Amino acid sequence: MNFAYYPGCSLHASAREYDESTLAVFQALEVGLEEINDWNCCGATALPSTNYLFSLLVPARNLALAEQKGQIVAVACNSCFVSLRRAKTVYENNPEWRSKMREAMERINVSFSGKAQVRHILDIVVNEIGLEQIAARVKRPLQGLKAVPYYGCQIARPLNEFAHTELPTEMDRLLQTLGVKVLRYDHKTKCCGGSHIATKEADTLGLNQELLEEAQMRGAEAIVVSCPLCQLNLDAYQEKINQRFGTNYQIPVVYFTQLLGAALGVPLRKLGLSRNLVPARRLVEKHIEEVL
Amino acid sequence: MSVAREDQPEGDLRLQAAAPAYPDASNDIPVIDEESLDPEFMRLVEVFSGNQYVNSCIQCGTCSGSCAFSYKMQQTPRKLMAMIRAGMRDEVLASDTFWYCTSCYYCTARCPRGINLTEVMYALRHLAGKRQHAQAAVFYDCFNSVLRSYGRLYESGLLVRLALKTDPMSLVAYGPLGVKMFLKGKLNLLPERVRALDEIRKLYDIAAEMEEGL
Ligand code: SF4
Ligand code: SF4
Ligand code: SF4
Ligand code: SF4
Repeated sequence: MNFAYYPGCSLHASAREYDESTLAVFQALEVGLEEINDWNCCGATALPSTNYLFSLLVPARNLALAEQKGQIVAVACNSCFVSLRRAKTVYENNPEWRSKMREAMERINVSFSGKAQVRHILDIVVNEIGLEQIAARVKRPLQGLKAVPYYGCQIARPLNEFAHTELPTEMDRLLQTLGVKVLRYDHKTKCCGGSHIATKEADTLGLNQELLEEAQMRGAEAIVVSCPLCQLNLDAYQEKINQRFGTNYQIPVVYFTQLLGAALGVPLRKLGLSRNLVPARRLVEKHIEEVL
Repeated sequence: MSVAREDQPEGDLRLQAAAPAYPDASNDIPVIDEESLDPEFMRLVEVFSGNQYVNSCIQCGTCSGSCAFSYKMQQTPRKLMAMIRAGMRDEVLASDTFWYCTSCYYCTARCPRGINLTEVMYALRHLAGKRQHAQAAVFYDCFNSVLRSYGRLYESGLLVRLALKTDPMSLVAYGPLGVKMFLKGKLNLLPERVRALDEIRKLYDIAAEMEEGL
């Protein structure tokens, strides 16, 4: 198996630990992950807000690059996942805009047929590599770690095909395989406000306070995520939320790949665990030590 | 679970129901003069939303009930759909509703008519374009220009551009968080660039040209 890796901009900056842990996990699982050469930003929610056709062409260029290699695109960021799928879906289902997309790509001499498949790495890990494979390779189960899975909104929504639109179970089952005690989390696909944190900070902090509150109420020691923007809002802004709402949350927000890597026996320094702003490394160490 | 408030006798639910909890609960669709309606408007929204069928909306309100920001919006998503259909172009484009949308796709997942409302919201932002000076609009414009400068998002550059266009002092507020992110190696001081940047710039021009007159 060999995938075309689309990290997206965040994984090269604010979500570096997601990039590091993803690469380490795929290496440990012996699954090829080859970064798409000269990929560009997918446009996120911003380009569709300013230009329609341009917002389809920008992700389409990435699909075209993957297509040339005949590979399936592996995406880590929920928002990138939606942007790439959106371009592909319009191309497949909408004849009017398909012909415009085709013409535009021809004019820059990039061949594009919309064939490249787009999959989220959570989908690849759970449904392609499979939980049996993972279970067989777990070296250090995270016995007793209590966590809530937070999928974020975009990973599960329509047209994404692999998960239930409101109550996905992929991350739950993966974490259980790693020995984590997965707690009920009704907010699992509620929105964190995404990039509204930059323009409507007060309202967005409110959404995130609700997410943290349920995690706390359930007794979670960690929130596990699959999206860099969710992670940023919940982790980097946790202190601001505490100031604003007079709360006292101290909940580490970790990527599922960080826990998966730890359980697979990847050295912790390769998982970027000291980059999470609410300290996460000790927590993981503690649960690993219990087993050793 | 509802908890009876102390100042209201518990049995008196009808009184509570009478006060509109959401803007939508009131009957405040403005009386407008038919001359000002734009019969072309709905078609435009449909084109730029990737051909959503706005007319198929049955006004059930599922979208409004699903949206985390309904309570903040001037009009709920359901009401906006009715206004689009009526051709209330100016009122719709002046609304803050679609600037509140976070693209969470909840409404889209649940709409019984299969309308992709998230795309409708995008289309309205696109159509409101320059006439709107919501801070969100400036943010998306800055993002767009950063993308055309480098081909990739450059987070620090985006925040600086946004601050310069809106509130330069807000950079001071970002300071402490910025320092922390920097120390954790999460902040790039220099942008990453796409080598074939000319392709992206050309796509921008080509797209603008092809959308003209639609
Ligand atoms: S969603 Fe965000 S991280 Fe992903 S490519 Fe787009 S801008 Fe970059
Ligand atoms: S939950 Fe938040 S960051 Fe994650 S996909 Fe949704 S809006 Fe984006
Ligand atoms: S959910 Fe769909 S049908 Fe119902 S009001 Fe909203 S747009 Fe109309
Ligand atoms: S996609 Fe936008 S309008 Fe729809 S529920 Fe989410 S925030 Fe509300």
